[in-house]
Formats: sequence, structure tokens, C-alpha cells
Amino acid sequence: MTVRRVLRYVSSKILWGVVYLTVFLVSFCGSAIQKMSADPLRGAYSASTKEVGAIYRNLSYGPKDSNRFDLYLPQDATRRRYGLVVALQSGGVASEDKKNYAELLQWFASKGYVAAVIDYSLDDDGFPTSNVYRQSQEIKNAIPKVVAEANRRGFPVDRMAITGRSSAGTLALLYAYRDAKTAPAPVKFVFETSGPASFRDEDWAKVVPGATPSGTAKLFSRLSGEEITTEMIVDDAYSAPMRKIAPDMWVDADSPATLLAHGAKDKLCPVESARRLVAELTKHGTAHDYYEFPHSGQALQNDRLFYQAYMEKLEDYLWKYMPNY
Amino acid sequence: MKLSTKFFKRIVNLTLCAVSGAILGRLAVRAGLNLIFGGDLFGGDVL
Repeated sequence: MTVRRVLRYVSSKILWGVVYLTVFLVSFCGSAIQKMSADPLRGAYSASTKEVGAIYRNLSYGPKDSNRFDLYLPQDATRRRYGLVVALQSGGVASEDKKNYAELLQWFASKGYVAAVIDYSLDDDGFPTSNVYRQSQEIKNAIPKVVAEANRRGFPVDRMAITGRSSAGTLALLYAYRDAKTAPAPVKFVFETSGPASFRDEDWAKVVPGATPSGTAKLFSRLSGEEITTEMIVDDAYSAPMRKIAPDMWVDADSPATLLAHGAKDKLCPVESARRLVAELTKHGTAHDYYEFPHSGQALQNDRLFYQAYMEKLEDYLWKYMPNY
Repeated sequence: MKLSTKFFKRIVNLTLCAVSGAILGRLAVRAGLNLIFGGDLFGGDVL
């Protein structure tokens, strides 16, 4: 009888232990999934396809398979002129699908803007020779095609804004500061998040593996497509070859208004890179707003209120620099 | 009386397991994202 009692007691404990563990694990996994998939802005800057006039996907702008863009057109086709918002697909060394931008671009289209997301050759196994400079040339070739396509479909564009995240943020800044003079429509403003905005060894040494001049030289060479040697880093003789991909070196009095965000704890792209651009914008009197997310890294993942403020400022920029008329 | 005390204890334990699982789940995601992208474990968003 006593043995039976003990066995019953032990099996009851084990059973309840399993129940508690199961509840813990279900709660743990559910909470983790909810955090990963939740929209930090709670749907405030997304729109469904029903609020968009038309979406055209995988339109070609160049000879490569990656030279594609998606075009989002607003429902109202009666206006004489439209503003265009161009998003650049980000990725750096990893690819990102154009669909990641879909809800945001649908939101722009629901506000009456023509919107587009441009794909380009990423630095991966498919295109080992791709670099920031070559990518910027693809973007420069793409944008006239995007504008022409919008015009062809009855949405004449007379002004534009450009955006990107991370490495695409760099490309957006380069287009706005370096290439806007040849743009098919005036670039009214640029907005980006977490993009490398300057290339100084003293900033990038913190994120380069080993934190050595040779590590920085390798990184800068890969990004620019130029041969940057360790000696050039040590002798501070790399600015000239890096200029073609360094947005901060192209800022002048005519640069368009700029909206920036960067994580203070970014371990992939140093926050100092953004701060240098902000200093140049201030020096030249260029209108700009900069949001530094104090607790976040590259993904701006830990400061929802700052992200909300950034997006509200974006709405202000749309109203101020690209109002619909 | 004994039965209701045991029942109450189990309800409390289940609640503790659920709440701690939820909190640790969110912290785990935040820690994982911080490992990849950088960031603080605490501060900014509450969990």
C-alpha cells in the first residue's frame, strides 16, 4: 500500500511537472513568435492592395535578371502630376526580397503617390564583383526607366523622393547627393535608416573583424571596387578613391532635404558614420532631421517610440516637400 | 480545505510558468536580435 502511494505521488509530480513545462514552453514560443512578427507601428504605415490603383511587378530596367522594379500606382489617375517615392532593395551581402517593402509602398500609393522598389545586383555568389559603386550606377540607370514607365501608364512624375535601409540607404544618399543633377525628376528629399553615410577608418575600425587597418582596407576595397591598401589606410590616403561611394563627401548647398535614422548600438555600421553626415548637412545648411535610436542596433529594433517619431516626421516631409496637388 | 489549497497552488504555478515563459520569450528574441544587429537588452521598449 505504501509503495503504491509513493508511486502515485511521484507520477502525479511528474505529470504536473510536464504540465508546467509545457505551459512555459508554449508561452515562451508564442511570445517569441509574436515579438518577431508584430508590426512596431501597429499597421499605421501599411495599406492593403485594395487601396492601390495597380501594381506591376518585375518590370525590367536593364540586362541582368536582378535589374527589375515593381511599380505601385495610386487609384486617382486624374491628376496632372504625381510625386514618386523610390525604395531601393537592401541587402548588403545578403539578399532581401522586394516584397518586404510592399506594405509601405502600398501606403504611399494609397496617399496618392507613385511608388517603386528597385532591385539591383547584390554582393553575393551570383555577383561577386558587385560593389556599392556598381550598384549606384544600376540605380542611376533604373530611375529614368521607372519615371518613363509611370509616365507611359498615365502617371506623369514631376518630383521624387528616394529611400533605402542599410546598404540601400547609402545608395539612396548617393543618388540624392551625387546623381540628382541628372535625375529625370527633381529629388525633393531623401530618407533612410542605418545606411553607411561616411567611410572613415577611425569609425569603421570598431566594427571590422580584428579592428586592424588591413581589415578596414579589405572592407573599403570590397565596397568601393577600388584597391585600398593597408598603407593607404595608415597614411590616410584613401579618401579620394572612397569619395565615389561616400555620401558625406557629396553634400553641398544644393543637396536635398534629408531624414535619417541610425541605431546608437549598431554593430554592423558605426553610428559615427551617420553623425559625420549630419555634421556635413549642418555645415552646408541643408535641411535635415536625424533620429538616433539610443537602445537599438542596425535593425532599429528596441526604440518603437523613436521609430514612430521618425515615421511621423516622414509624413511631415511628404507634406512639406512633395505635397499632392 | 486541503484540495482547494492544492488547486490554488497549481493555478499560481501555472500562471507563473505562463508569465515567465512570455517574458523570457520576448527577452530571448531581443537578445538574439541584439547579437546580430547590436543593441541593449534593457531600455527603450519594455520587452
